[in-house]
Amino acid sequence: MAFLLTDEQAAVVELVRQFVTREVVPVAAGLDRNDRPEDCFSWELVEKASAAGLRTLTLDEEYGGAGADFTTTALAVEEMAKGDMGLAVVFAQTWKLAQTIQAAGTADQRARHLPRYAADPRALLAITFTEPDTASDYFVPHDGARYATTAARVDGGWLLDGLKHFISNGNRASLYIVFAQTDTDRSLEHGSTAFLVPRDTAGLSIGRVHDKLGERLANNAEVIFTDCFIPDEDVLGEPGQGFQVQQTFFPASNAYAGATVLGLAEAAYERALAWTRQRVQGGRPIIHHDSVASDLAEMRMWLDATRLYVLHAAWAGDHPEAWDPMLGALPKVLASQVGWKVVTRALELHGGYGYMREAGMEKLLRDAAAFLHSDGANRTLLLKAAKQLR
Amino acid sequence: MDVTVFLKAIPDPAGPPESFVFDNGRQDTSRVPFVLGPFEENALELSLRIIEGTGGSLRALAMGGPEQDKPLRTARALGAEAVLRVDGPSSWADPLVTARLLSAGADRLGRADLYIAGRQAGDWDRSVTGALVAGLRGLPYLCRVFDATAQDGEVRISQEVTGGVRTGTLRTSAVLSVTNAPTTVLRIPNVRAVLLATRKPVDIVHVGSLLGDTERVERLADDWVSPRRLGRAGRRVGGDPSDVAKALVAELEEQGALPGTGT
Repeated sequence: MAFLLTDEQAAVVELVRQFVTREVVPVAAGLDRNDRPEDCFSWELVEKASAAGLRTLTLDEEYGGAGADFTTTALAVEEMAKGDMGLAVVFAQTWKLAQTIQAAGTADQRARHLPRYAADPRALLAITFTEPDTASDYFVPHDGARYATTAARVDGGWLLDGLKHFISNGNRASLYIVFAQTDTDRSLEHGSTAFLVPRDTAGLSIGRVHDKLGERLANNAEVIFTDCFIPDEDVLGEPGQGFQVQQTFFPASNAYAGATVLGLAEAAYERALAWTRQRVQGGRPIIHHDSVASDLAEMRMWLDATRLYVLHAAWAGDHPEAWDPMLGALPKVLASQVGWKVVTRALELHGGYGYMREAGMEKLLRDAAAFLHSDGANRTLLLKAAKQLR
Repeated sequence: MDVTVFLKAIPDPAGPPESFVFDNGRQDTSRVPFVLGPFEENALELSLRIIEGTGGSLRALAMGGPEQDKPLRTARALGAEAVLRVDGPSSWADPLVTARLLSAGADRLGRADLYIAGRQAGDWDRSVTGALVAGLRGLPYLCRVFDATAQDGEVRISQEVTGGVRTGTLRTSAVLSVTNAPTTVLRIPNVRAVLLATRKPVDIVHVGSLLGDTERVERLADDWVSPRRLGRAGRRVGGDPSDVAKALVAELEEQGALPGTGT
């Protein structure tokens, strides 16, 4: 077992760090403060990431991408989140779904959709599970669980109808993976289907863009389908097997979510470390007060342990023989709990200065709150893991 | 116009302080993260602008241990056709040794029209290597260059000079040293190119095969290791700021480094 990054992983991390330092950090706080959620999103950052090849980090080399594996991608997500967690979400979604289409898509689907994604410097990807009344149900399904969004069989394809909400990149994506109920007599576990739906499909429209507490550089929006025709060749996986697509082809989703909030927490820790080294009270830098130093050591311990867990989950995605279903649920739970603890403690260590908006700690706090529920509410994911124990 | 750029990785100024360790007068660099020096970044960007404007080729050269491979790979990711590391005394070598080795290494990469270095290394700030290379090669030396534009096969160079800026057309082979300016901020390489560059080994040449006298080169390098010349390793002073100040003054007095003290 090796705990050192490979030269390639180190090179990717360094490049993302460069991108974050030069392009993201100078603008993130300003974007976050915009009133309208649409104005918090930056196409300029997406285009700059495209120029550096980062948007297509996980796209196979045959399509012009860098072909990053799950572990390298998790490292990139973590590094991006140190600059801004919302932007990390924009790319984590896109990176994850490119991997999914490559793994689950047919040769024809890959040939039709991936070159378009590669060529457009603004092409982002989105996945639509969540509906106003269907959320934790698709993590821990039960017999009564159904997507309200339906896809009815018609000649040559399916007619999609319904509304998805809270969708990351919902108003920005050029290609969606959509989950819909195709057999209303069965639960979503056995009666749902996944579809590839390009943005320019007739009948697809965008509803409201949600005004969020934090993670504002990522837009979440309603995606509405009205008599939206999807040809048979854009069924992802088999009809009725949507849940199996979800279970099989998203091994690192939870790890990416964990890496996202982990990167944010590491940024908060680094700020706390720098602040306690310079802030003098009691006649010395406050890091020389034992209680402060031990607080920092404890934060470091939480972060190191979480990082190992998150990267282990991503690594197991790359090594299916080592996969444990728990890794598809628990790393994000730990990372979000640790993230919340680290950020609140970092805020506390800053004293009154940390409470002032200019310190930037309040943004980290608002951002950290997102992952207590995002990518699966923590209690739901604990239940999902608990099912493995019974 | 063909360009050879001299690069150098230096200990990351933003790296964790605890990674810098001195042991028996020697810096232990095994835990130190290295990054491309800031002025070498400028040199690399200006080199790229020149070859893009003139249609020439770029080669990159560094001297030292494996820590120097990273900047060479960056140069390769950005378009350098050949990269070479002179494997020998690293950043501790004296400037003339460094200049001789770099000049000999540049010969291995083939003739270039321009030899481009950073204004000064980001670790020891000696600011002389470029000038020494120019002297060894018998070429003019233009320092503190901050802009270059190619037009009709010629390159117009802008230099910082005392009291202002000097701009002129370069019509001869030369050695340039490059300073920091908005025009010399190094572009971010493409991740795919970075990965491809990482997979390919860096060409290495040993000092002995360049100068034919390895022992003398290494002796010269050893003589100039700064901590040895100080006679002992550095000492870190911590604690209350007023105590730190007193300790520093006492240390400087002991070394005779303050006016009116020492011998």
